[in-house]
Amino acid sequence: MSIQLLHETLEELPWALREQVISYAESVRSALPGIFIEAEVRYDKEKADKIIYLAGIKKLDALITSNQWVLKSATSLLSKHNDGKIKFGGSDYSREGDFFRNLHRLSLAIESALYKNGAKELLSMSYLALVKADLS
Amino acid sequence: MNINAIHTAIKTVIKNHSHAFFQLGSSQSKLLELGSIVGTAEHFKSLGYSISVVNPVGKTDFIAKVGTRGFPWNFSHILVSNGSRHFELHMNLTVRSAHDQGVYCVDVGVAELGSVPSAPGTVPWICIDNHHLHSFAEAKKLVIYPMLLAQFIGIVHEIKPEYLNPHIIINSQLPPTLISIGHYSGNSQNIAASFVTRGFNILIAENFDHRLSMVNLGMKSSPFT
Repeated sequence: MSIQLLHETLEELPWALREQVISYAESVRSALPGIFIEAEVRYDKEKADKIIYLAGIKKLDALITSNQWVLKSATSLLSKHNDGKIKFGGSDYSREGDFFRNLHRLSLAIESALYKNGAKELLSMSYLALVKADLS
Repeated sequence: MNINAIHTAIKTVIKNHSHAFFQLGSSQSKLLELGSIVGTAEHFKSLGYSISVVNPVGKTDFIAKVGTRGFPWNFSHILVSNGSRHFELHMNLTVRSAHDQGVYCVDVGVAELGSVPSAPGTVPWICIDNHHLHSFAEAKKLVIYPMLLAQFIGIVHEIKPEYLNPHIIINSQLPPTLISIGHYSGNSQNIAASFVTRGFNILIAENFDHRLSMVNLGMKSSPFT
């Protein structure tokens, strides 16, 4: 159910990104039975489905925030030494550039969606902690 | 926790920001390369090094080197310094093999200060000498599968084999590192664990995007620890 719902959530995402998210969620699905044992919690399929779905969202969030962080860090580091423009194979990755602005807006939108729905805090938890947590 | 509410909210974000997602998808490889050098610089910073950027002569922009072609003096690099220790971090740096006349290109090269020319010389430049390369990182937009690990060990063997010799102790700030935005697949985690018991001094940085996110949140000072 969880992977199917994840597919539905991500159906309009570019293929390469979607595959990374699904692949990560699949890897968590494989690892979860062992994590339940480690947590000494009886396997609960409904909870496992929620955690697998959250894993996918965690990967999506990481894809956005890490790349935004890379751009922010790079421009911040570089701005101390020049005007902060980053030229990469003809593309402008600077703070003034279209990509930086769009990624920033996307980051704000996803953070807002996660906070409003109480998911942001859950994404920072380990899978062991999620297995032990009350996700009802 | 209402999964359906999260589903609806995320779906709406994807729909409303489809162009940004498209840009992200098509820029991910470049961003991984940029993230690798920035992450490496951040790692040195966590060890007490100061960081400065060196651009090509006469340029004010950071010019990233995107492939094997081109001379290093036409691109930017990062200088890391701590007291008397200095290294230059270069993107796509060519280096001589440790065994023969082969030339390899590493995604991030940690080179001795002054070993990479900052201007053209009288003799055509090909690569830095092997002993001038302190360490390196390879970045892959892949899950970590067994043959990727084997390939990486092969790269280390050809370029910096001393890191695979358990009898050689190297005072290294960063051992040869495989950076991946993917997770371990199949039995690859067991293989990586065996590298430790075999005395290989290398680092596998899986889920590098998660690691960078944690640095961003202040939960880590280096993406490699």
